Amino acid sequence: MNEPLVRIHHLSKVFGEGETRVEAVSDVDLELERGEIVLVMGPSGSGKTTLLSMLGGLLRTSAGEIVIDGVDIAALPERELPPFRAKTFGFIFQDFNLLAALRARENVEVALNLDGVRGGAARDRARALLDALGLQARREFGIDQLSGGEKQRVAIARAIANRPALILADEPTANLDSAHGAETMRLLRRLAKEEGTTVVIVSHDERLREVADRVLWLEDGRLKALAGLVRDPVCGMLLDPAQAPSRLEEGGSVLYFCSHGCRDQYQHERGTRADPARVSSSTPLGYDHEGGGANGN
Amino acid sequence: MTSLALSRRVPIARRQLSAKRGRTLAGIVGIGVALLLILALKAIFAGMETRLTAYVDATGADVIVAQDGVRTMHMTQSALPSATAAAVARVPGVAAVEPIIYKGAFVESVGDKSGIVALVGGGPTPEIAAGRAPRAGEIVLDRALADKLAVDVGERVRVLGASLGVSGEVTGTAAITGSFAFVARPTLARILRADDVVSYLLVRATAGVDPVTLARRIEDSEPLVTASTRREFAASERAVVGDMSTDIVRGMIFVGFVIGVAVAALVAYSQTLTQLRDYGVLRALGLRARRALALVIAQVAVMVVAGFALALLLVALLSVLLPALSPTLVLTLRVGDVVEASAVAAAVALAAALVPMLRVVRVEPASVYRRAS
Repeated sequence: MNEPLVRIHHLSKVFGEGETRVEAVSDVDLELERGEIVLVMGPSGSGKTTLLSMLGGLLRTSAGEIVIDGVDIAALPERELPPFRAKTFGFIFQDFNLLAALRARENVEVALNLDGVRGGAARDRARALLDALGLQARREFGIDQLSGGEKQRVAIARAIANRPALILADEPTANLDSAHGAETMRLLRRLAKEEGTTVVIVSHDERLREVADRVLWLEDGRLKALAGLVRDPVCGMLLDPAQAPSRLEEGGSVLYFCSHGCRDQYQHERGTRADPARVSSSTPLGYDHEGGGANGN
Repeated sequence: MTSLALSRRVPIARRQLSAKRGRTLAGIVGIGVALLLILALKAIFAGMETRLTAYVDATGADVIVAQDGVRTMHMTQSALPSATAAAVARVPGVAAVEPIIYKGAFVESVGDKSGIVALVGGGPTPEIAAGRAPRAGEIVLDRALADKLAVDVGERVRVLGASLGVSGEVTGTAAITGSFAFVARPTLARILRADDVVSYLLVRATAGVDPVTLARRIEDSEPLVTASTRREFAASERAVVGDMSTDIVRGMIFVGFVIGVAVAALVAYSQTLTQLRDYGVLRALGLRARRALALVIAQVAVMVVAGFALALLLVALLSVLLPALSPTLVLTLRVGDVVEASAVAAAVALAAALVPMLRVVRVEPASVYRRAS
């Protein structure tokens, strides 16, 4: 059996202290295989971005290990992190985060420069990547001249320029229409399956479940088994039954709500319309279709 | 890392500057104007020095003899008995002695316009641009003063209560502090009622005699005089301007420095603020902190160098335009002054880059995950 590319052990991140202390990520264990696509979902403020930042060596951990290809980046000195990032990670952001002052080709070339590839070699590789992503006619365009989909493709070209082992994508489809979103999903899938790149996606976009090998649920800084989650019948939010703020017994089953407001709305609509078809009961979800479970292992 | 390798990277600093052309240009102009204050003032004082020694340089004297302790014509007085000329003429190595009388005075035109002159009686007159050398009862004015007084050759002016006919004009002696005017020595002696007193002796050395040696020899034989070579005398004259201008120039350098730093720092800081997200992205992609600092410094340095070049260009332009508008204003750009101003420019760049550098160093790579507003 191959060694996993990433091994996260007892990872925690705490912000502030005393009364302002917040544990954004709490005792997370996770392993990521090479060529695997892992989708991390969860409510806003659940710690997804913090987890992604620590995984990408952008944020120091409070405790635990993040071992990538045998290197514990949590223990790496600060000065060694930038070259490690340049070589190991490809970042894809919701806002694309392209450098507006540079042309499309230069945005890709910069990533290569930062990994020590210069001059013609960097230029040629950047051109080849953009061509492969269908941007040959846009290579020398300014960023402001590109559409959202084109920007995301430039961002993907930049992310894969240094042939990283791990791509970290933060809401990669959030600013894209459905066609461009689907194109991005297809590209990420191809990268993982053809290049063997591990892809971690943090997103609220349900469409990304189609390309994910595993879907993890992060809530209150902890990874949870999706199989044990239920959906609020009013707003559709996924909930841990044990921590649901509100519940209602109905017809022998229990409904779970994200808030008293949702429960009140549910009861009101049941009372006024008496139309069972309008609301669905909270049911366990079967999203964990390829083995994603508690703590993701 | 070689400079070649550096040049083969994407020129991020240059691109960042050109992305905000208006702001960058405003910064360059601001820095340029600040440095122009320094360069122009230095050039004006250098021009003054040149004009101040124009007469001394034109006399052709090897040694200038003055009253004991006197080493300049400006801002001083010198009086020597007429007999000193004959005594100096007897010193071995002296080929010729020409006494002159020197007096600061106002020249007034009929129309009540006036100007300050350094009135020289006797000695050689600089090259006459119009008219002829002065005879008894006549005066030669600098053309800039003649224009100011609105007098032509042949008209009359009043000097120290005497009416003199303008016989000619010279050029190149007018400065902000005044200009030279030339009369015959007996004329000035009559006006001053001082037939037996002269101000300076212009001494020519015989061929092969070193002026420094001759000056010491004259001082040895005539104990109540100070003898200076023409070079020493001119240097003392320049020192007079130097003494007058040092505080002003220092003050202006400080003002220019402060304005330059303020403009450059403001532009660099606002540039940096708008680029903070870019720096965050670059840091996330693997940019080391010291290279991020280098990007900031490079941007400030480019603006300061361009501003300095602009200042030099403007001074060159002013050195042509100002004398045309005001003949008493001459701008002379000296290498030493350019070097000094470039040192100030470098200090401006460093000081201006400091705050943006501190800001960039604090950029967290994780900031890339914050949503753009």
